[in-house]
Amino acid sequence: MGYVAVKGGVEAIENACRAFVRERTKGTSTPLAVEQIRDRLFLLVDRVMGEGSLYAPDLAAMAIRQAAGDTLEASFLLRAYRTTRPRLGYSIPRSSAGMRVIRRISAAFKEVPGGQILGSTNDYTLRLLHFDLDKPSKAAGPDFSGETGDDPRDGEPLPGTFPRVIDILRRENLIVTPKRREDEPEAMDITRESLLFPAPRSAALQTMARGETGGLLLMAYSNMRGYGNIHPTIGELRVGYMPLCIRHPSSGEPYTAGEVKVTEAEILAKFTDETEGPRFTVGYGMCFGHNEVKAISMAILDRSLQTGTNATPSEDAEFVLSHIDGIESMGFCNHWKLPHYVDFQSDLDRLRRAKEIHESQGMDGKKKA
Amino acid sequence: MKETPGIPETSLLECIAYIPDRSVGKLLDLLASKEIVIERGPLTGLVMMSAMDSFETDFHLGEVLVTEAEVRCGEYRGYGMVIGEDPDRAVARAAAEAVWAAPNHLFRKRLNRFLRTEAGKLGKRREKESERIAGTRVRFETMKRT
Repeated sequence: MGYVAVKGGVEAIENACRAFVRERTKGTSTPLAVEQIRDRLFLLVDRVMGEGSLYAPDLAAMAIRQAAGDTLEASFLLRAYRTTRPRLGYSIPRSSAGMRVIRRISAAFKEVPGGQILGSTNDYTLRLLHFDLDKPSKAAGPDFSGETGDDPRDGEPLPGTFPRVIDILRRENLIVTPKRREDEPEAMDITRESLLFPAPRSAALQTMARGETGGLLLMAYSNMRGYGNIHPTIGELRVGYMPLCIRHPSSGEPYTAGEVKVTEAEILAKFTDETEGPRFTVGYGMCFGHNEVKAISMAILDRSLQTGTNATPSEDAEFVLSHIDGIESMGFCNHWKLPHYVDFQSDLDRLRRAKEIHESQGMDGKKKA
Repeated sequence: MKETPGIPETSLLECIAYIPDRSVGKLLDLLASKEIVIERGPLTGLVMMSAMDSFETDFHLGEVLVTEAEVRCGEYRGYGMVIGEDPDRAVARAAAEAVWAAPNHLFRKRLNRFLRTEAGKLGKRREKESERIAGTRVRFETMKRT
């Protein structure tokens, strides 16, 4: 039986696309509004924006709806969209010192300047299904399981800015400051230049900031479990709003276009005495939206990549940075579904030939015996 | 055409980025009495957001969808950029900047009054949010040895 390359299937493909739309809109429930997804499934929206590397909550919500909740596909839609818009420029780099904080905790110090602010979190809820969640909030009652209940009042407003926890250690010269490579005068942009190895730290941070949450977690978890040696302590985890500042095109003065929700993590890791006496080392993570697992995983990987030993997968920059992009990896995985008829025919021909040789040799062997 | 001189009251104009859609409509109505000519846009585009880590190493966090517009009010130009796909807001911000730069003191006063009211409302909303978040501040109690 022979195998040949084929073409066709246009009608079947069109019908399959229509079938997906039908599947997505079947049933009698109310169609999902973009606003509903944006407001009610905000963590999902944040994740898609981070992995799609485009901060656009409304578009992310649209992408989630179109992809029927597939985060990889939704991120892909968002990243594809970005290629249709012109790049207007770069923002002025800002640290998180001026962040409008809505959550901030430290696992390193009990008392931190500005206080530990839990903000909005489900860290302390029991993982039990809340069957009253679809009822109006007042009926559900002011509990910790789902609805808001009465707004608490503290009396003491939050400070405008929070000092960094890491600065406490920096003042005592207890942490190592990573040095910028001499051949990296400014931040590399991986959307404009190919990622080459050894990668500058700025490129590694950008690659991880747009990485897939599960991919980053897998690599970081392997390190935490023992395929690495980081043993992190979360110096500070922040969620808040950072201003998007550009230069005014006429005056050149800083101009704030709005603010962007981000999550930031700083981890303190095992100390080193390689330079200027024993000190802690630091890993840094930041991503769009509220995504703590991603920011912490990124910080752990940032620190593990600084070891530069390649002793474990999470310490190998090429291994980590080449495999954490959700869209690339999903695309490659999915491409196997495309017709490989010619490739496979070639494999099959070789296998048949090998089998013939094997059988003839086997028969020869039997004859000899 | 004159360039907009150093933008005064930047933070007041900045609040246009955060006011509700309804207020943007009111602002456009207010500015409609002036002869505003849209020179460019409103168009959506991307700004690559750069951030700094704990040690002030800058890196690119990802792109942000923005809308920008450029308008003229007589001889004075105004520029507006806002986050998201929001052409009305971008035009409103650009127009407010151009009108602010123009020497019509009476109109500027009206604009100033409008923006101060909106900035005040924004401040109150943020204060309320801050109070709510402050309720999640942890107050540790040291346990005594028994």
